[in-house]
Amino acid sequence: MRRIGYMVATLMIFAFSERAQGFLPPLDIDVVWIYFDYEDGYANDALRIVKNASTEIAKPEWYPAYSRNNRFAYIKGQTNRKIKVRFWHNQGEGAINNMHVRTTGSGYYPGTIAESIVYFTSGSFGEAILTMTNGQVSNYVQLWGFYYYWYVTKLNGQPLDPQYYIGMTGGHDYYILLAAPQAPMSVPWTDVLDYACVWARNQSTAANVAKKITEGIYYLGDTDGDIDYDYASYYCTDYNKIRLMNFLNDVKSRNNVYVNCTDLGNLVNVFAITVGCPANSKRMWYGINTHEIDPIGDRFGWVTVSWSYHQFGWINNLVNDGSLRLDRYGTPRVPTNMAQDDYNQLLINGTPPPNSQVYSVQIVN
Amino acid sequence: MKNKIGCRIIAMFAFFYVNIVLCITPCLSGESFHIRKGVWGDPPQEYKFRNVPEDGGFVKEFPLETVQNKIKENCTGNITLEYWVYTSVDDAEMAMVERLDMSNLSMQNIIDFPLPGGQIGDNCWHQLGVGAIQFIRNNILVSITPSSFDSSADLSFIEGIAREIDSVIVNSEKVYDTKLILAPEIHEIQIISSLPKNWDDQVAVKINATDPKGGKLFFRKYATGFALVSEDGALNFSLNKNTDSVEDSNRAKVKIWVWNEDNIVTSIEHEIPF
Repeated sequence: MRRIGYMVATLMIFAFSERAQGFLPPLDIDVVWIYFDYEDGYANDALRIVKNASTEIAKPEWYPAYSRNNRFAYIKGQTNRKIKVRFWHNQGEGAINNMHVRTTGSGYYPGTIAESIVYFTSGSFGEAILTMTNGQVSNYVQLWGFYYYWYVTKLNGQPLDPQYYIGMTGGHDYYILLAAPQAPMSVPWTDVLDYACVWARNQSTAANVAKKITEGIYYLGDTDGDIDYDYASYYCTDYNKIRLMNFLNDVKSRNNVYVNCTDLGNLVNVFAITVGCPANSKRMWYGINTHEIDPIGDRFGWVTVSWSYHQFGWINNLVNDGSLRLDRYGTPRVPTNMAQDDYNQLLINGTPPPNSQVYSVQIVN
Repeated sequence: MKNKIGCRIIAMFAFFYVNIVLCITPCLSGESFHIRKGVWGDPPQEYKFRNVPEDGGFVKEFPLETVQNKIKENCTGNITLEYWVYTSVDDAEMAMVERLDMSNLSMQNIIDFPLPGGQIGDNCWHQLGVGAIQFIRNNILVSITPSSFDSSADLSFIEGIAREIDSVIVNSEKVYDTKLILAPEIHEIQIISSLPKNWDDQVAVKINATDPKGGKLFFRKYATGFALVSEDGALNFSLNKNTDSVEDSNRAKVKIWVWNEDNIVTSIEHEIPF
């Protein structure tokens, strides 16, 4: 019996090899789905991310049968990322015991799949955890994508010549974070990453990420034309508590979004933290008369104002203020990575206020 | 919501809310004051109010048409006018505190920084440098700011506008039974989430209310950002120890504003056990 079984298996391998080369019945192998985040943590795979506080990211991230192609996230410089892939073949249950696959890639791929074995242990379906080698996640913040081109190199251990081309998967769009996510964004929101990773693209240091995010928030007003400064807080429930989902929804759906410095200080804080840049916000009070400033949006223009307090992003003990531009020396600029004393000198006409407090942002909904 | 009238008055819908009266202080002039705590910060800022007679009556609705006609003649620039009609002076004062405390515009209390032209409203805060005046007269809160904040603009006309509006309110018909104010009627507030265990826990409530005129209603929790408005009575919020704690109690007390399209505001306070 064992000898007959061996002969049958040998014949089948030969037959499939023939089919793979174009004989009937034509061999069909497909990639069914791909998980980029298939296990807890991110030691091996992609980070866990969510759309926002109420919406998960459906997985497997790439699942064409469900018209699904969701984004995923890595941390800059990561190597040997693993993915979990399901394959299918049309040769009937048990006809193929295993195959070897590999990929080539196009676009900004963090490695390709070197020849790896896949076992068909579930009828015509087989799954494998495959490692991306010969590359790494880029060393800077980004939002970009890649395609994989899948090839079968062996069927049941027998080399195929030419290799069987399964097809292309993608585009696999992914975020690259500066560092591991931190509370309160230990599970980053794609609703924030969609902004932050674009603003901070190609930046590899916390200081540069802070600068780009702060400027991104300030110019969000001008590019969309729908955000304006007001003195009152519209999205906070305390100096360190922001209703982030309300803000993000309003930015997308309303044409009259108002924010004040408390809103914006907390936004700089939370957007920076989302891409892995440690951040806080800082408030100083009471009594600030300013030099000429240009608050976010076009409602004010260049004005001098009198504030009871002011709040701004506080990153690496430096001011990152997305609420205004300063123009003390003839060059309008959003204050980024600015020492407190320098900032005070540029902003305040008079004596700086006596009190200040640093806050860790909380996201409330 | 924008309302263009005369020289372009913009009535914006927004917000408001609660507060604790700390003390009553007689003054040398014979006036007496009370202090209300701010809503954010630890410790919160304090705001001083003139006491007002309890029998001053209530204005049923904002006299918008009269105000329009009055200020049309004197308005030399574009202003943003907000007006809110409350069902109690307490609520109007709480709303003023909320407005002052959740804003970083430095406003001066007319008690400590009197204007040469005298008092505006029962209580008033001003920052004439940017053309901002907020005052309460009876149960009405009025806020006037310029539509654009141009440092070089002459904003002196705004004080005159505020005085005109105040005089219109003073001369408006008053009622002495708040039930005659066509304010939203709050029938019920239900907690529709699990009960909180700690401060900052999330709570979801559903407020069942109707407008006497059958119009739209708006809901917002006290001391939360002015954009955090519900139009269906469903509100999600986290409990804030600074604003929602009740002394000697293991309960939180939240206050919720409900207003209609005429900016007539009522409120409900609801205790939530831990």
